[in-house]
Amino acid sequence: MLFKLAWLSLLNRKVSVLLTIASISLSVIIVVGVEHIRSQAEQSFNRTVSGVDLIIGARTSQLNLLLYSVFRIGNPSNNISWESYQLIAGDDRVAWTIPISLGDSHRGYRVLGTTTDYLEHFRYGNQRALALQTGSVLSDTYDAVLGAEVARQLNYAVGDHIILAHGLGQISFHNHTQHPFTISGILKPTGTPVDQTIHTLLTGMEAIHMNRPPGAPPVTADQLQPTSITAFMVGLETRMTVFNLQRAINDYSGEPLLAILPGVAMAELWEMMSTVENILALISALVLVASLLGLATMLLSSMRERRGEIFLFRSIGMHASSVLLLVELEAILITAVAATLGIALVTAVLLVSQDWLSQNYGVFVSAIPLSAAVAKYIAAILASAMVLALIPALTAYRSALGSKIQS
Amino acid sequence: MNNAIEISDICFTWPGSSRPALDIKQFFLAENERLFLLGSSGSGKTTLLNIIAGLMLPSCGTVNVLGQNMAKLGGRSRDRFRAKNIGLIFQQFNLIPYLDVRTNIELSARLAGHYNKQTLEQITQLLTTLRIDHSLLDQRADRLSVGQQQRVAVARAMINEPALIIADEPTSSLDHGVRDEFIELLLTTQQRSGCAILFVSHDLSLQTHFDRVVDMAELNRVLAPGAEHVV
Repeated sequence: MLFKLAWLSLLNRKVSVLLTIASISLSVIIVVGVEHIRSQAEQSFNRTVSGVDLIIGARTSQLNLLLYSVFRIGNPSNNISWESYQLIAGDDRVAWTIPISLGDSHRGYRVLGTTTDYLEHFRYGNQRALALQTGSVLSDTYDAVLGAEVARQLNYAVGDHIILAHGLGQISFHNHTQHPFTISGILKPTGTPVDQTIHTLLTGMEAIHMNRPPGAPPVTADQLQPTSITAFMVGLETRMTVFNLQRAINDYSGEPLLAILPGVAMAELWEMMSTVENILALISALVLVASLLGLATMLLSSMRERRGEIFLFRSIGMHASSVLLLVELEAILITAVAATLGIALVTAVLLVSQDWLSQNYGVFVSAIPLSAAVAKYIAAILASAMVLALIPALTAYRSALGSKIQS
Repeated sequence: MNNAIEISDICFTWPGSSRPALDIKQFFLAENERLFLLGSSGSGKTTLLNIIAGLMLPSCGTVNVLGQNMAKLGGRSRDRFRAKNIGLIFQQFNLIPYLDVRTNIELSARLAGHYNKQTLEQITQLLTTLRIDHSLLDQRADRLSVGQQQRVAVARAMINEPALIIADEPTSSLDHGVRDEFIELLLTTQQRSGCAILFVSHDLSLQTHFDRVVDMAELNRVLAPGAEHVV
């Protein structure tokens, strides 16, 4: 009965109730949306690299090595020698390696020199391999395979020629114009920095940096043997040996090297972003509290006009505590409707934009924002609504207790 | 049998006031009796009605309603007692405006714990007695005319077959034409259910409908001529 009363009483105040629902819905959208994006971002961040046991580069900080080797952010401090690479790659414990050579770019996108092992062994997400959208893998010295985003943004197709530039700026004064590269293939979107990368062979990188005068005889395969690389990723035969090998590499006397565990470094990096996370959470909490205060205000200001109603309830024998319950019920109804609406809207927007996001931005989001965390937020929202609704509910209670026949 | 109302030596002083608003030596309403209580504003009649309805307790003295000493009941029990045994009708705002006629009446039955399968039948019977068109059952209360609202208020007050009806100026917002019809309907319904009625009004012309007339000015000793304190 109280439920029916609460419902009809809210229907009777449609406009202010709808406005309140809209305001709470919006804040639910913000809270749920932010939480969903946060968890998706974390997931997407953690999918950037998988199946790699160690990343090895010149001695620098763990984060710097991770940033430039995986995220193509920042600059390598130094290169490592081809001999050191060969030595470690030949170790019995090592199953495969992916050499990485950075330093060139094309219209702002970084060029990564590597070997065909890259396409074979690199994994992202849940152990997913890279796959070609069109074209073929790297085979010729001047072949290039583009990440999906590079091809889309610059509108390139297989067979197009591109000129690489020395350095990383959008505009470079030193273009390798003598050696255009041919696009041999374009990768499928991965939602990782791979999408933003132009891949070439190490030999290609070597060839364009030789700066040979025009008309010089063609280079031999031997001359294209690189003398150094920027870093390399390592897959082990068995993960049991990872700490052993890491220590051995960090203690290597030939040159100062650093070996990092990608998972550990990624966790450390994400930890640094927790401030941003906390600020976002704080902002959405404040928005939510503001809208719930609006709910309390709406209910409280309705109490004045409902004094007669409350007295009537009392005169036909309703106890004051039922009046308190009635107001609480109204608050819960409004919040529940608003929360449902908010979640439905977030889901609808995600459903509509899901394909578009993955096709255009390589961002993979799941459409259903219902996770344990979101459920917790909804429970917290309902609980805060109930607490804040105590302000009008107690006012109604006191008004009911003091209700009298007026002369 | 008990009297419907029995009051002896009650007084009531508003908090913060030094003079009592109410001082009554003796007052009773017999079972099945129709009593006209004449009182204008300031006569203490509102205070008296609040005390009888159990919305307030007197500062001194005892109030028995239907044999129940109201002071002996806790707040919740008094609400329950009022729901079951006392039907209240006011000058206006007798119905929850956003509920339909049927829900308004049902609510009273539910609060008294009397709601069951027969309730709807009882409601329609009451409506017939009160000459209310049955098509109004599903109308929102605020869509009714004042006359219709007052008659639905009688149905609302009567649904639990209370032993006592308190009607506080129920005709004051009615036109002269419908006033007599309303009183006639009210008293017919009262007679049919056999309850006592305490009818409060300042309009002496209505007194002919009643068994007995009591003047608040004589009842409330605070107002008596020569009383040391005058309200």
